Amino acid sequence: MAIAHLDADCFYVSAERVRHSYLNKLPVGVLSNQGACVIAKSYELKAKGVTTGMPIWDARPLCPNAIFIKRDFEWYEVLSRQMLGMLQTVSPTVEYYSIDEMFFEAADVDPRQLQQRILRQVRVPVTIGISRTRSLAKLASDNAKPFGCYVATSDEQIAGLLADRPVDEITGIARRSKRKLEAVGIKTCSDFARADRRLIRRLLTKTGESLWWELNGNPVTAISTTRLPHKFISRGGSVGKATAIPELCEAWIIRNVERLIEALDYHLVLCEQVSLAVEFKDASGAGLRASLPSATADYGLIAAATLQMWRRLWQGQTLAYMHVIAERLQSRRCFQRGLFDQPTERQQRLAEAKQQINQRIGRFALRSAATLPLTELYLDRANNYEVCDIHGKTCF
Amino acid sequence: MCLGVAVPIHEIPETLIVQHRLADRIAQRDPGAGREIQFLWRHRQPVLAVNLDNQLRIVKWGNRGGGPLPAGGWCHREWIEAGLWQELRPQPAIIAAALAIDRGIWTLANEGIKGVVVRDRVYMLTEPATHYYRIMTRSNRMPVLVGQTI
Repeated sequence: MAIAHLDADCFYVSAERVRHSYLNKLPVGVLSNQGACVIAKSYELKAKGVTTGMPIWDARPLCPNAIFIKRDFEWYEVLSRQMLGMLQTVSPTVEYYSIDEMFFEAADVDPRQLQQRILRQVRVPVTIGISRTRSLAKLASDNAKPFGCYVATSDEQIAGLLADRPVDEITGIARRSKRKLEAVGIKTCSDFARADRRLIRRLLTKTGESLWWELNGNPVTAISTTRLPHKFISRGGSVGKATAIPELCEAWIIRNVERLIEALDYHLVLCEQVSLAVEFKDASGAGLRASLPSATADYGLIAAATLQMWRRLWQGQTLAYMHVIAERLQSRRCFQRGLFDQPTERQQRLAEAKQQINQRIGRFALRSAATLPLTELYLDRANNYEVCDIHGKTCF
Repeated sequence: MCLGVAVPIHEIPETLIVQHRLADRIAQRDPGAGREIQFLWRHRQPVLAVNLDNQLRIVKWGNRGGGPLPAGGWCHREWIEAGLWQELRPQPAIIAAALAIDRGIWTLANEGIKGVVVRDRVYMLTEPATHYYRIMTRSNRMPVLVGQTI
């Protein structure tokens, strides 16, 4: 079976070029949620040395002519789903891996034709890699960018794909794994594929061994057409300008709790445990975990538990990042009821009314008054939709 | 403060380019990219392309000298709303702009920027910067964009 990996070329920039053709061939950077960092760059901007994650004030001197654009995930999702829809017409098995990456069974697919069709209909350039496993297909597409096709299905083609490529080009081999591998002389992808399987398992555990099988052409991870149930759900991120103002910090916590509860509602799950992870401006971090009285998605219980954790771990530091994480998830269709602290009927009715009002009027139209210090943030509609709000992706 | 805009060259009629000697304002942002005309406040004689009564005109940008007209090239939207410029009889206009530059950051202006024409001058309308725009440009005021907010 041939597996294909489709990767949209500098997707957010390409999506902006769909609606602003003026940006074609120009150095363009798409900015993060807070407008401070480059989260996507055109090849023209990349050529000037601008990297993903670079703050805008570092990027500008490298390319004074660059054009910086506010992200618009709602628009990117529209194009992403168009690409997904097109793939579903040519392949029976498609995995929506991320907003700009998809895996699919490629038995009867002509990648060049598909690429041209997507360019014609969605107007986004994509690169396609085809091989025997997911890891090989991804490696192939990574090495054919931009707007390339790389087919490596025969033994010779796979050997050519692996030869002389640094081992950290394999998705799943990051800096630490690379160091471990280099210490035993494994520097390239072909070194990795030829290495003793037991050695790889010893160095990189079962995950590394799976990669070894995949690089040798034996599929380990199948294409998944539906997302597996979440083990945990998290909401959070940067708080914009780092702050030590208590009301602002708590407003951010409540914002993320409300977003988390929305996600629990969407996925029809309850959580038995909630964690709070924070990072301060001085790069120090802290975290706490709290058990809830029962499996719940009740705002009052989760907000109270999270605020309590925050007040225990905060000693006046300047908050920069935070995540609220719902853990030990249970399906709402089948879960163990607790003896105590069930949300009252009144609370449930209140939560339903809030959900209905927001569905009808707009997201966050009705929200906790604790978020009032963030009114300006809520006024900007673009802040109400983030990449994690795009559902159905198997990765992130 | 927005200190300039760029417009694709094909959006400015050749006759206006010749008549107003705009040739030295033509720029190419990157090799292979299309040409554009940049209208910058730092130009010796700053002008802007303005859509007035459905006609594109080249109009002097604000007032850098003395005289009775307000100094500068910008007008707070709040001033117009409060009627502070009423005596000047400002006429609403749309400043043609595909891109705008503020503190060295170029960003999309899309459908143009709102402005007011007072006699033979155009002033760019500004409003308090949004949180996003402020972080992006470190500027406290932003141009009033047509059909979008950054």
